[in-house]
Amino acid sequence: MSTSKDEDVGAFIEKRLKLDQRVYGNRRIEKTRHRRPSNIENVPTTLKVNKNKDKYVGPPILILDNGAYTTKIGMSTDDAPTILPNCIMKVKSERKRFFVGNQIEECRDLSGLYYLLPCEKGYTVRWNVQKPVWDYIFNNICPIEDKPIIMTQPMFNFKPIQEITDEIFFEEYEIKSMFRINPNDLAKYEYLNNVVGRNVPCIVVDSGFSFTTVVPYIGGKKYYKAARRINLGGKMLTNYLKDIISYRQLHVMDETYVINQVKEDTCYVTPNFKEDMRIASSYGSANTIIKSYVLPDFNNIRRGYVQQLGENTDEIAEGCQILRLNNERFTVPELLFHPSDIGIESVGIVECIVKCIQLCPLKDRPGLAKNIVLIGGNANFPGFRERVYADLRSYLPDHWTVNVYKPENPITFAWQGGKSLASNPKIKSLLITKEQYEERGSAYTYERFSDWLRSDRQLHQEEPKSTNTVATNSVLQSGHFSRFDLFGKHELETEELCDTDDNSASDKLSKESNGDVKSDSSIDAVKEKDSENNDNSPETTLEAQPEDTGESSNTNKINDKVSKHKAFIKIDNKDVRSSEPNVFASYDFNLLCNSFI
Amino acid sequence: MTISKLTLRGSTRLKENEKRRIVDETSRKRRHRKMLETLEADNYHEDPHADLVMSKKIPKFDENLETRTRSKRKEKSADYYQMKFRKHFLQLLEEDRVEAEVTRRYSYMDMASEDTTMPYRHFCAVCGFFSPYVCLTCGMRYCTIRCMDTHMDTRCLKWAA
Repeated sequence: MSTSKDEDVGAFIEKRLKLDQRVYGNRRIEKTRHRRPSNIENVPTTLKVNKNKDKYVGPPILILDNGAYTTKIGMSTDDAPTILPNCIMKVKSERKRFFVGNQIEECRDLSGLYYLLPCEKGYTVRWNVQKPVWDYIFNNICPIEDKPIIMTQPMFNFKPIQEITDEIFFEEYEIKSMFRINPNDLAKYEYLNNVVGRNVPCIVVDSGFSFTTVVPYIGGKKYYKAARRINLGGKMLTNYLKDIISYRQLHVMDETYVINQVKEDTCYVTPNFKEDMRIASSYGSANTIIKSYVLPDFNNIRRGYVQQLGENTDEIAEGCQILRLNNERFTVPELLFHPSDIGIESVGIVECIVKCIQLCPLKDRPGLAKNIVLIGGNANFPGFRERVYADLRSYLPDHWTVNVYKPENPITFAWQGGKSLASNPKIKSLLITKEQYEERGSAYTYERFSDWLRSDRQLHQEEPKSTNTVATNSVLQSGHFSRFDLFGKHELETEELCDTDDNSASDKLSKESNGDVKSDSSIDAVKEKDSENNDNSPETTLEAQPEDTGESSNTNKINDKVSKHKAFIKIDNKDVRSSEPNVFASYDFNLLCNSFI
Repeated sequence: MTISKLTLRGSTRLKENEKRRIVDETSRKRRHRKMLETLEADNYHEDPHADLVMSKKIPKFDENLETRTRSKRKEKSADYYQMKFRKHFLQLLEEDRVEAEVTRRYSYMDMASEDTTMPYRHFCAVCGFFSPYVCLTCGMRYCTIRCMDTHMDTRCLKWAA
C-alpha cells in the first residue's frame, strides 16, 4: 500500500472539510469532538492506511450490539466498545435501589444478585427492563442525539419487537436514522473485509448467552436452508454449573453472578474428554485438573480467584469458602459439544457445523470448511477453537482444508464489524431516516431490516410435482406474499378474489368431470399444458387458448375462465418476481452482500 | 381413611417395600423437563425486593436519571411499552410461524437444530464421572456404591408420587 503525498494531502483536506462542515452543521457534537484528534493518532498504522484507502470519513455512527446478557456500545470513532450488562440487578443488601447496566460496579455486596433480563431466549420481550437500560446507556454512557445508529437484532426478530424498537428510537429518542442487522452479518462483514479480504463463503458460529447459531454465507448472502440454532448458551452452562456445585458441595443456587465468574475463571474445553475424565478420577498429585477456587466474601475478597498451589493454608485459616472443582471444569463446556449429556436431544456445535456444510451446495462445501468464524462469549473458553478444529477435522474429508478462525475478542467482533460497516460509504443507503419511517411506518422498516422475509423456502426445495393443484396453490401463495408483506396487513384484494373465483371454477370443473368423462380428459389436457407452460411467459398460454376452441362450448367457457385466471395470476407473479414492488424500487436488497469490500 | 386391622398389622419392612415403587416414565420425563426449566431460568431465588413495602423514600427509575436532553413531551414510561407489547414469547412464535407459512419463508422454527445421531453418554448423577449403573427406582445413574448411597438418600424419587 504505497500512498503518494498528494493523495494524502487530498484525503486530509477532505477530512478537514467534512469535519468543519459537521461542526457548523451541528454544534452539539462539539462537546465530544476533543476525542477525535487523539483518536486518529492512536490508531495503528495499518488502520491508517485503510482509512486513506477508503477516503471516506462519514459522520460518527453509534453502534449498538444489543446482546441478551451484555450490550456492546460505542461510536464508530472509538477503538473498542463499552461492554456493560444488559439488565437491571437487585441485591439483598441495598433495598432502596436498582442497579442498571454497569452501575453494578458501585455495589459492594454482590451476593444473591437478582437479575431482571430483558430477553427471553434471545428475543427482547420485557420492555420495562430494556427501556430503562437503554435510557441509562444513552444518558450516561453514549449520547444518542442526532446520530445514525447501527443496531443488532437476533435472526428472525419478530415483528412486534421490531415495531416497539422503531417506536422507541424514532419517536422517543428521535434519532436521525437507523439500521438493524444480525450480529452474524456484522461478523461476516468484518471477517470478509478485514481478515480475508475476498468474498468467500464462510460459516459464522455465534455462541452467545441464550443460544448458539450456525449460519453459512454463500456469495455474501445467508444460506437460510442450512442455518441452524442450538438452544444452548452461556446461561445454561452457568445454571448447570450452579446446579452441580449446589448438589455436590455448597448451596450456591442464588449466586448466579458469582458462579458465572467461576465458570469464566476455571472452565475449559477439553481436547480429549475421556483422557481428562481419567485424570480427574485419579487421586493426589496425579490429578492435575482439580483446582480450588476461593469464593468472594465481598468483605476482603471482592472477586473470587483460583487458588495457587502451595498457599492453601492462608485461605483456610482465614475461613474463606473454597470450591473444589474437578470434572466440573470441563464437563460444563462439554455440553456445547454434546447437549445430550444433560438430555437435550440436539446436535452439538461440531455436528451442527458438519450438517450445515452438508446442506449447502456441493461446490461451496470446501470453501465453507476453510472459513469458519467463532464469535460470542463461549468462544472465550480456553481450548474452544482447538476442539472445534480437531473434531471438524475428523468429520470432514481428508483433502479439504479446515480453518477455524477465532477473533482476538469474540465478544466484540460483531461490534467491530459494525464499525467497519460505518466507514463504508454505502451505509448511507442502508440507513432508514426518521422521515422515511414517519412516511411509511413500521412495516417499511420491518421489510427492509428482515432479510429472512426474502428467503424463499421453495427455491431450495426440489421442484414440486407439476400437478395442477400444487402449481396453482404455489402461484397464489406467492401472490399473497407481496401484498401481505408490503402493507403489513391482510388486504382482501385481487389475489383473494382470484382465490375464491378459482375455487368455484374448479368446483364447477369437478362437477363437469362427474358428468362428462370426455370433457374431463380434455380439461386435463389443458391443465397439463398450463402447468407445463408455468415457467413461460403468460402470453404463450393466452395464445395457446384459441387452439382448443374445437371442444364443446361448455368446457370451453370454463377453460377460458381458468386460463384467464391463471394468466392473470402469472402476470401478477411475474411482476413480483422480476421487479421489486414499487415501494422498494429504489432499494437494492443485495447491497450489503455485494459490498463485501 | 378407615383404620382396619390390616393397616395396623403386618411388618414395616413389607410396607416400606410397597412404597418403594418404580417411578414410571411420565414422572421421569416430568423430572427431566423440570430440570431443563431450571437451567433456562434467569434466577433461582425469589425477587429480594418482592416483600418491599413501597414508600415514598424509594426512588423511582426516573429520579436517578436526571440528565435528560430530550423533550419531556415525547417521553414515555417503560411500562407504556410493556403495556403496548403485552406478548408472550410463545405467542410471538406462533404469529411468526403463521406468517412464515403464508409467505413460505424460513422462520424461527426452521432454524431449530436436528436431533443428534450419536449415542448418549451416561454420567453419574452424583459425582459426574462415567456411570455403568442405573437406579432401578428412578432411572438416574450412579457409578459406585458410595454414589448409590448418596443418591438413595438425596435425589432418588423413591418417595415421590
